[in-house]
Order: sequence, then C-alpha cells, then structure tokens
Amino acid sequence: MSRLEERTGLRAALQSLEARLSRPLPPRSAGVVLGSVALFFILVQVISGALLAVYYVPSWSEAHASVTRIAKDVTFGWLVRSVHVWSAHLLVATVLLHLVRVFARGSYAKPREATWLAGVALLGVLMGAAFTGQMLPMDDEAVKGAEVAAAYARETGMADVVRGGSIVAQPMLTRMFAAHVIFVPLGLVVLVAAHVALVARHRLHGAEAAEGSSPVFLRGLGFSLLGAAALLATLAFVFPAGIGPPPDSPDAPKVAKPLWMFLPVYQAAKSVSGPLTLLLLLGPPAFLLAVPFLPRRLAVPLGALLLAVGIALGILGAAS
Amino acid sequence: MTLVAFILLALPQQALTDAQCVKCHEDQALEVRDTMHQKAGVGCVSCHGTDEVVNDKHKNLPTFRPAKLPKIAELCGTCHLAVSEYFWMSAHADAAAKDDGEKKHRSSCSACHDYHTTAGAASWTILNTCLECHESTSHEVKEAKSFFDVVGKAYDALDHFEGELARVERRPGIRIFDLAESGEAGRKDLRRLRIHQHGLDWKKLNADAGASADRTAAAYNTLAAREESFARRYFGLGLFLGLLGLSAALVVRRARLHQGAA
Amino acid sequence: MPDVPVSRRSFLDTLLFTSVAAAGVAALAPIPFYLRPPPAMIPPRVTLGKASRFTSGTFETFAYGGRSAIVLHDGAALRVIDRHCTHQGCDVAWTPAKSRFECPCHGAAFAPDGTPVQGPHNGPLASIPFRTTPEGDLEVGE
Repeated sequence: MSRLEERTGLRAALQSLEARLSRPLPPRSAGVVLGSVALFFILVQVISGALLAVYYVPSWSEAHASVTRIAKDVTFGWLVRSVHVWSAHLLVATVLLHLVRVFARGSYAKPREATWLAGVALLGVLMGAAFTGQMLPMDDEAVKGAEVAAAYARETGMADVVRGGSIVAQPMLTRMFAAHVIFVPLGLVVLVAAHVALVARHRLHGAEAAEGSSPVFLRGLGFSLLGAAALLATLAFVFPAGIGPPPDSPDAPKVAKPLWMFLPVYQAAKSVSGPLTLLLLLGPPAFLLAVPFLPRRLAVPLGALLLAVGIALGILGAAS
Repeated sequence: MTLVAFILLALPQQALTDAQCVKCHEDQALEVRDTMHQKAGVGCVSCHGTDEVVNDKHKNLPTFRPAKLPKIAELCGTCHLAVSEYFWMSAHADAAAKDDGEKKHRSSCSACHDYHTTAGAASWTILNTCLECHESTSHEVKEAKSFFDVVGKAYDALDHFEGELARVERRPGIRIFDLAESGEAGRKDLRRLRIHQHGLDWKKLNADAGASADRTAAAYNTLAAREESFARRYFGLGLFLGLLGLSAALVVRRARLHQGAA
Repeated sequence: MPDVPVSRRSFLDTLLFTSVAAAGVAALAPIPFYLRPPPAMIPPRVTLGKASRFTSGTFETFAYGGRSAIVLHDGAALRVIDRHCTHQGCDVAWTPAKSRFECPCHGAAFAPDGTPVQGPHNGPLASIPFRTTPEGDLEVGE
C-alpha cells in the first residue's frame, strides 16, 4: 500500500465511490446525469459566490460601484463574476431539464415521492437564489426588477416582508443579500443532502438491475461533468458578464425585463390583477407539489400543458 | 438765465450706467451679449469708466480709457491675474510699454483677443495676427507655430484617449480607475499652458507641451496594453479545455480497457 | 473486477486522476490572485466648507478615505495631515498648547507639518493634498 494510501485511504475511498456510482441503468437513460450536473453547478455557484462576497458591498449607494470594481479592477474579477452569472443560467436550465425528465419518465412514483418533494423545494430555493441574486448588482435592471417583485408581493400581502419597509430602498437590498448569501445556501445544504440521500436510498433494484453492472453511468457522468465545465468555461471566457448602467442613467432601457426563467410569470401577470395574481404565482408550485399524488393520466397532460404555456408565455415575454 | 445755468452745472454729474451706453452703442452691446464677461458682471462701465457726461455725447473726452495700450493690459490684468503675470514677463509687454503708436508696438491683449466679443484666440487667429508684425520666416513665428502644432496634437491625443476611456468604461476586465485621472490631469496641463503661453518662453512651453503629450500617450498605451492582455485570455481557456479534453480521452481509454477485459 | 493487469489499470487511474486534478487546479488557480486587492483606490475628495474659517490655531478632524485626518492652521499655513502615526498606526492627537502632534501609544511627537520631533516613528506624518476652490471651499484629496 502506498504511503498516501496508508494515511488517507484515498484510493479505497475513490474505488468505493466508483462502485456505488457504477449502478445499472435502464435503457435510454442518458438524461440521468442531469441531476449530477446540476449539483456541479451548485458547487460552482457556492465557490464563485463566496469569492464575490469578498468584494461586494451590500449598500444601496455602493453596490454598483463594488460590482464594477470586481468586473474591472480586481484580478480575475471578471472571470469569477462571469462564471457566477453563466453558471446561474446553466444551473436553472439544467434543473428544469432534470425536472422535465423526471416528470416525463414518472420517476417520482412510489416510493420516490419524498425525493420529488425535496426536489421541488430545491427548485423553489434556486429560483429564490436567481431572483435575490439579480438585485444585488443594483443596476437599472435590478432595481426595476425589485420594484416589480415588490408589486407582486403586494398581491400576496407580503410586500412589507419583501421590501423590509414601505418602499424599495436599502432595507430591501439588505434582505435580498441576506437571503442570497445565508438563507439560500442553508436551504441548499439541507435540501441537496436530503435529495441526494433519498436518490441513493431508492437506487434501482430487481429486474432493471439485472441489465448488468456496468460503469456506463460513471462514464456518462464523467463526460457530462467535463462537458459542463467546458461549456461554462467557454461561455465565461468568450462572453464575460457586462456591467449594467446604474439606476436612472440616461442609457438605461425604458422597460427592464426579468430573467428568462421569470418571463412566463411576468408575461402572464401583465393580463391579470388582484387575487388572480396570487393564483398565478402559487398555482404552478402547488401543481408540482401535488404531482406524485395525482394519477398519471391526469398529471401528464396537465404537466405538458403547463410546460407548453410556460414556454409560449416566455417567448412572448421575451419578444414584447 | 445765468442762475438756471449755474444751478444746472452745480448739480452732481450723472454717473454712466451700461443701460445708457447701450441706447446708442447697440452694435457693441450685441457683441458683449452672452459673453463670459457679461456673465461675470463685466459691462461697458467696468472697462470704459464713468467719467463722461452722457449728454455731451462724449464730445470733450480726454482719453476714453482704455486707449493707452499698456493700460489695456493693466485693466485686463485686474481680473485675469495669472495671464497678466506671464504677459508682463514677455517681449510683447516690453513692446507695448513703448507706447509710441507704432503698429509693431501694439502688442497688448487686444491684439489677439476681441475686447467686446471676448472670443478666445484660436491658434490660427493668433498666427495670422503674429504675421501683421513678424515675418513668417522669423524664428518667433516658427517657434510659435511649432508650439501650437504640439498643443494641437496634445488636444487630439487627449480627445482620443478620453474617447477610448468612455468606450471601455463599462467593459469587464479592463482596469481604468487609475487612468481616468490622467485625462483630467492632461486637460489641466493644457489649460495651464494656455496661460503660460502669454510669456512667450517658447523653449519651456514646447518642453511642457511635449511632456504633457507624452503623459497622455503613456496613459493611452497602458490602456491599449490592458485591452490587449484581456484579449489574450483565450490562452487560459485553451489550456483549461485541453486539460478537460485529456481527461475525457482518459475516461474513454479506461472504460474501453475495462470493457475489453470484461 | 475485470482481469486486467493491475499496473496498467492503476496507471490509467493515476493518469486520469492527475489530469482531472490538473484541470481542477487550473480552475482554482486564479483565486489567490483574485483575493489580493488591486492597487489602492484613490479616495473621493472631501469638501470641508470655507477655507477662510481656518485661522491661526483653528483645527478640525475629519475622515478621508476611511482614515482619520486633521486640517489645521499653524500660524503660517493651512495643513492637512493624516493622523496615522507612522510607528504603529495609532491616531495622533493635535496638542494646541504645545503646537505639535502627540501619539498616545508610544510617546512619539510630530511638528505641525508632520516632521517627526521625538519618539519612535517611521517617517513623517503623511500630508494629504488639498486646494481651495474658486468659490473659497477647502477641497481635500487628489
């Protein structure tokens, strides 16, 4: 046994991990790596986010300057920020694809309901991360987005909690920062641990396992992680994250659009008001939570409809 | 009758106000309108005084100041202190002090600056004015011309530099906070040179102008170098992607090895 | 386990591990450079009201770029001094009675223009550039 092996047991640990991950898979399972890729992006976000927090100043007047400093003055600041921004987009996209795949294959069925619920909660936390994170740079888009969010919150009676006061100002920024940097990571730790533990608990057994043990999953996982890293690096290097104009600056666009993942709700909310907005905001999450308890005959068409409407609204929202 | 005349003459003479001058001197009033002088509260009376009785239509005017040339420089110098300091050190001041009516000794402020419209003298205006007294081949004109060339280039370089700064202001990866001051400093230099040039010390002026242009060029080169080094970030990306590719190839090789043996 | 010569398998294992580790190191390598702050930012200018109110003997402490500073008139000229003692960074106190700065930490003293007079020091107190605007305001900073 090598000296390193004697002290750390590294090789044994890696081999054991490999054995556990070399689980058998049913046919046409390429998408099974999506969850792991999402986890990779979450790790990237945590690290890059921690680094950004070293220079970011959560003050209404200083925030934009601090982000500009990161992007322009700090060594490799542009890279850390670009990785964080791109990884956020890729993370949400991967998680949504993962959700669609799990839903389509019905992998949430008994006994995996808890896994699905943990996953939906995780999706909620990630959307919260995206929203809170968007306000932090305090550029024109961010502030306008914050105003819109406060308007939605008013419909749900949570305006004061979201704004931390009676208007969109410093207290809201402080809350968003606390949420993004403390509450979201805490939520992620708990929910990711729960979700991954549940996935491991409900590994495939029985007939499907008879396909034969093969490290195909591991190979697929390896490629997809390498591919995800390559995609992220390429996007961050070739399209570094820009600096938006500060609020009320002359070259700021008149209407600010929310992030792409919120476009469907934004577009739909244009046509509704009052208590209907509440239905719009809470309806899709309620449906997702109910999915494991609905018969498949009902769930699949409803889900497909929701997805189609969501995509259509998203495109409309982007184009308008 | 004499009693009335006596009473009239005994009355205090009216002091002139700008409004009264304007009644007759409309053209000059138009020239002064919207100038820096007017904004600063400098009007007809500030330079021409109030000694004259308006009713006489300036008939018995002794000297309607500022007729005497050195006096013009003194008068302008009461407000334009820094410029006046340099002017008095120059050969032009010596010539103007001669005050003998000769054309080539009329080298006071009004030689280059319009006294009513206060238009700043642009370099080509100045050079044309120089030629009224100096030969175009004289060394003074040559030195003045070369100085204005350097200053012109310095202005262009500064404009270009500030344009580039504005272009990259919101671009990530290009540090500019230490260069922004250079643009301002350059403008300050050139404003200072405009004052100093009244001293006609061409050697020093050329040296200063050249130094300022060099500083702007250095700042511009730093900016260009930073843009270039940011553009070379793709080497880092290539290295990283290469390592990922190598890992992927090894994964394949290893998997084939396992499969081959299974 | 597949029946492959162990040396070949573990060689590829090691190679793969090294390759992935190298990619990981390459990804994390910028971090130490990132954490080193860029050269000191120039602090924004501070305006201190009319310069004329600083007659001989008057002084005022204020903050400049996060540091404690003082503006005073020592009878000859207006001075703007950074109050960081050059010994170990304590704030020096301006003692009008003795017309000098005195550091409470180790007893260093400095003249009104910052020159060290006695005690432990590492050079004179830093002077901060300032100017009087055309309107008569005192503006401190680059």
